[in-house]
Amino acid sequence: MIIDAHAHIDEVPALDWIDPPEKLMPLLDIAGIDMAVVSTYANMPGFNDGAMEYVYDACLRYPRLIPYIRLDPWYGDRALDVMRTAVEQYGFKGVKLHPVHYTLHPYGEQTVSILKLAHEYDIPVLFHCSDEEMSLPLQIALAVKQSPETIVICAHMGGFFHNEDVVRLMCENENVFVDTSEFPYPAYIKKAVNLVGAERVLFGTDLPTTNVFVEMEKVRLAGLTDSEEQAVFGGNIARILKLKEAAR
Amino acid sequence: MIIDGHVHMGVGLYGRSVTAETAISRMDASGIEACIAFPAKPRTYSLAEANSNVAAAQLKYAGRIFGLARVDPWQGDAAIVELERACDELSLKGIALDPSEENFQINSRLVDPIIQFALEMDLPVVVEGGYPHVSHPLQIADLAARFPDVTFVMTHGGELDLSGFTRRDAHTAMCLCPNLVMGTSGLCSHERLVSTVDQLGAERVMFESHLPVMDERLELLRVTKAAISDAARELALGGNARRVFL
Repeated sequence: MIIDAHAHIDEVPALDWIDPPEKLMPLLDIAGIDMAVVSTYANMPGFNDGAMEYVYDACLRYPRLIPYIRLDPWYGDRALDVMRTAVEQYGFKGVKLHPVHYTLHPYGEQTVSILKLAHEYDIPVLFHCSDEEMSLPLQIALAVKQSPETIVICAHMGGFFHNEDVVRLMCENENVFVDTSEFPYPAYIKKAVNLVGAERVLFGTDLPTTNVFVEMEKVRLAGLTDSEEQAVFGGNIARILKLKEAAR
Repeated sequence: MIIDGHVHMGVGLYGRSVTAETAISRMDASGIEACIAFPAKPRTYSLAEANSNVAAAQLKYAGRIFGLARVDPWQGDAAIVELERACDELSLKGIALDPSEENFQINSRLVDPIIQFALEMDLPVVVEGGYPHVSHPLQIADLAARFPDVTFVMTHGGELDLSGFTRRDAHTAMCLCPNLVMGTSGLCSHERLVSTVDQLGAERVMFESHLPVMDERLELLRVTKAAISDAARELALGGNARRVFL
């Protein structure tokens, strides 16, 4: 079973990013992807108060989609309240944080509170982790230190330039995972697998803006064994999210 | 004919190197018939020596490797003298500028004499694009607008930014400057590639691998698997590089 650990649905005219679930689903189909983790581009709380319901409704219509709630830690307790509602009432399975969008250091108290609550709920936190300020692996590392038991997924494996830092972070904390979306280096997938094992590398696409074939072939070009590839393509995220059917 | 528009050749200062022989072997394995190569920043720091090595590779692998001259604008008149040698005597096909590794802002007036040379000699200019502070796409557009009769290739589509925020700037740069062609290496947004072809024309997109930093097998897929017409794909895979460089 192939599970995409990082995709998006949302409609944000201000950015000209119009990506309803109906745009994502055919891309999953054409590539043979069985399920996909989805979050919005909008943070909650924020300019779109309906973001949580948008994802919830999409996941009801398309049960292959797995909802993450995207939060803005600036809002402190209000963000935590949104998270509680998302998990307890709507069954969201994880948190997405994109510190570049809300411009806040990942290791500040507001963000760490979210990490700690995620640990209480036993759900992962997916960080945008790349080359931009507020999303650097070493900044995220300082958050991980304050909540070391939280499962943290560093998206994009550190982007174009911060791959060594993110691999080091994985070596230092066994609860740190990476996803393979967008970044362009198959060799770093192999390197991470060699250093920490295939169990902590997750296939991700960042669909629908990316090319799904490129994203899938990136993993295949890494030169993993069949069992390693299977873990990366779905087994690992199924284990994290406790998707019993998929994990078999 | 598939032409890779962006290969760094030679022993690189920053730990990645590809020889002409290795490049040819990798190109053969991926069905790439020719490449546009310019020096990796050499361990000797001598770009002139590295340009000579690329020219030797161009000679040895005629029709497979086409070289560009890499110069450092901080060298002032010496950079122009090197361009005269590299392009006139060694028959290199254009100019390569790396604002990140040579540490200059691409829209600085420092660069103008080099572009003036390109204009006078009718040479294309490849700019390593998308590096923060030095080659943001709007900085590249600022330069390209000053020299509308020079063709610039903006590598990486001008965006090395996975948050996606640079995408609009890069597209705006392409809209503002018809003399800009974008390379595809590391261009994670398939939507941007397709919208560039649809809105600005297939002549504006060029396949490039950024070998040895990136993986030519993966980079090729960005174009071969793109949702564009066969005619557009043919231009992106080789027709545009042929028109610009050969």
